[in-house]
Amino acid sequence: MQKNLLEIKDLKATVEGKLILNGVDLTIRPGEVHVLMGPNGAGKSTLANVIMGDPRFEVEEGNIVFEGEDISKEKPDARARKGIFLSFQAPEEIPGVTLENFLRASRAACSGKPVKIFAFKDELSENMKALGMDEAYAKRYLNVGFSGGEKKKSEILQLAMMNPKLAILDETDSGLDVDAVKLISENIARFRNENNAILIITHITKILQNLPIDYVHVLADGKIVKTGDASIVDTIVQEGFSSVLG
Amino acid sequence: MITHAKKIDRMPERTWSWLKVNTADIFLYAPEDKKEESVLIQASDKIEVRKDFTGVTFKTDPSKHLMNEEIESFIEQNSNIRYYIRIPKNHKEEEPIRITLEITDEYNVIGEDIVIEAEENSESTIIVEYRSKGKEEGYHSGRTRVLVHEKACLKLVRAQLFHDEVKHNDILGAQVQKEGKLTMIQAEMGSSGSTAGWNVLLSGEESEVNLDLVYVGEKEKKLDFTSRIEYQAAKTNGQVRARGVLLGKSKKILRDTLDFVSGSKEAKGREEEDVLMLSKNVRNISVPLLFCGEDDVQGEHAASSGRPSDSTLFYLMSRGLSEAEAKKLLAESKFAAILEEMKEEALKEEILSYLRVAIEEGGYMSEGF
Repeated sequence: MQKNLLEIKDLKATVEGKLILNGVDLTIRPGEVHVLMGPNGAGKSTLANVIMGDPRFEVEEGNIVFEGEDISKEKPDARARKGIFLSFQAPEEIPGVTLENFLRASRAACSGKPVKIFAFKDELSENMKALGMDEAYAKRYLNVGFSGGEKKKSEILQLAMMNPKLAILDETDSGLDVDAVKLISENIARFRNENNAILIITHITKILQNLPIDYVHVLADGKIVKTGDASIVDTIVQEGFSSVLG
Repeated sequence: MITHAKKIDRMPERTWSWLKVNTADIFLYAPEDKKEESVLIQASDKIEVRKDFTGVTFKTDPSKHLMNEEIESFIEQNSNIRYYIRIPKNHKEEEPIRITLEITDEYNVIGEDIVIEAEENSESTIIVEYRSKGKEEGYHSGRTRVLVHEKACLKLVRAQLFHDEVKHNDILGAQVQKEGKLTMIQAEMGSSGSTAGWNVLLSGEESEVNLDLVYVGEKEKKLDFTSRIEYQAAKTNGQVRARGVLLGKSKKILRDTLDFVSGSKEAKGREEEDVLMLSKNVRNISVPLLFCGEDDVQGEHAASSGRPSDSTLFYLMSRGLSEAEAKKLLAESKFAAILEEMKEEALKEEILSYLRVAIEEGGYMSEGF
């Protein structure tokens, strides 16, 4: 049996004393695609941020194990270097740092090796083309003046360039037009292989169309209340969350 | 060595004394003998370089605003580096003129007095590097006066890269005549403390100045900057941009004055400062001042300062950058808009290396992560 990539047990997390995650259990193995759904305020983004190590959240109980190692107390950069990637719902704007330089710095930090410039540029160009991004964006300051869609593409570009073991995509499809969702979905499918895993947080199912879904989880009131196959997505789309929350 | 410690008024109008912004501490150092310290000037043979100021006249000496008679006479009596540099009329100097002043353990006092005259319709870049060797205490007191004639274009890059045992005082006064343009980039990166001031008179119609300042404060360093642009003629345009990073227990003050005097119709001015504070113990004071003696002018000022937000740091760290690397990237990004105006890649990299070292040496705070 394949080893677990991510194993979360009884995770409880608070923000400013308020309990947001109330005992989450989740196991993800390499090669799997998981979908996390749930009503607004259920704690989906909190879970994504807590896995990444956002210091605004306090882990009160439980632990997060990645490749057999407890990372609950690790800083975000250490988690990233181990192979966890979070595509942000609202990516930060960083004036003065170009997208290309940021990607190069991230690549160097994660690999621990100097980046070979020409190979890096070729790879960047190829990935930008695949995402339908104007290559001029590489020279622009990170997310500054980017439209909502370009910001999300920039996140998926970072995913492609960093090639993590676990990609968590927090509503990467929100605010995108149908063509952009399709393009992003194709690029996520391009990234997927038997050695990595994806956790997709979404309200819209279009992003899932190119992906073989292994598990769908429904999060409500800080807990995963239902886990099943892709058919849950259709049920939720047709009948709403009440149909699965009981 | 003769030393004079002085407090000098640096506000155009005095304000409450408890604000402690009215005066700057000036330390003047004079060498016991007037042996010339190490200085290197590289320029083509079209550029006049001489050691006396014979025949050099300023209608109004723009540096006077930053000193009193006592300091002026001290500089005139004690300077051991005195150069007059002239870019002739209609001449375009292709390569930058380079001036390198170096403090060493043996020659540790520099009293610098330089006059630069960019004649009518000339075009040139001058790079002044202030460097030091060794580890002993050193002292630099400088006065630079610049005259930009009609339609001349002068770019002045000044990089203060002293080691942290060097005390540094600097005054620059400039006058820009009709349709002349002065661009200055000043990098205050080294020294144990800096007191620096610039005063620019836009005396000719449609004359222009762009003053850019980058600085880093670390440990217990005190930085005292004064910048003033006087708009004397119509359609003049003067802008000041300052970008700084403060660490450790450093203290910084920037008094930044735009003075639109009578006759400056349709003049435009802007002053802006952006400071990244990477320690809870730094003190940052910005004093933007606007004076209007003419009604048809545009003057703007903007100042922002703060620590990097948790969400920004989290975003950068989620991509594998350590807290120090993330802060270095944010600090470098503050300088980016100004340094991208510099073509001298090696010098630019050296300026950034001062910033990186300051952050690596632990001046940054660690919290939350």
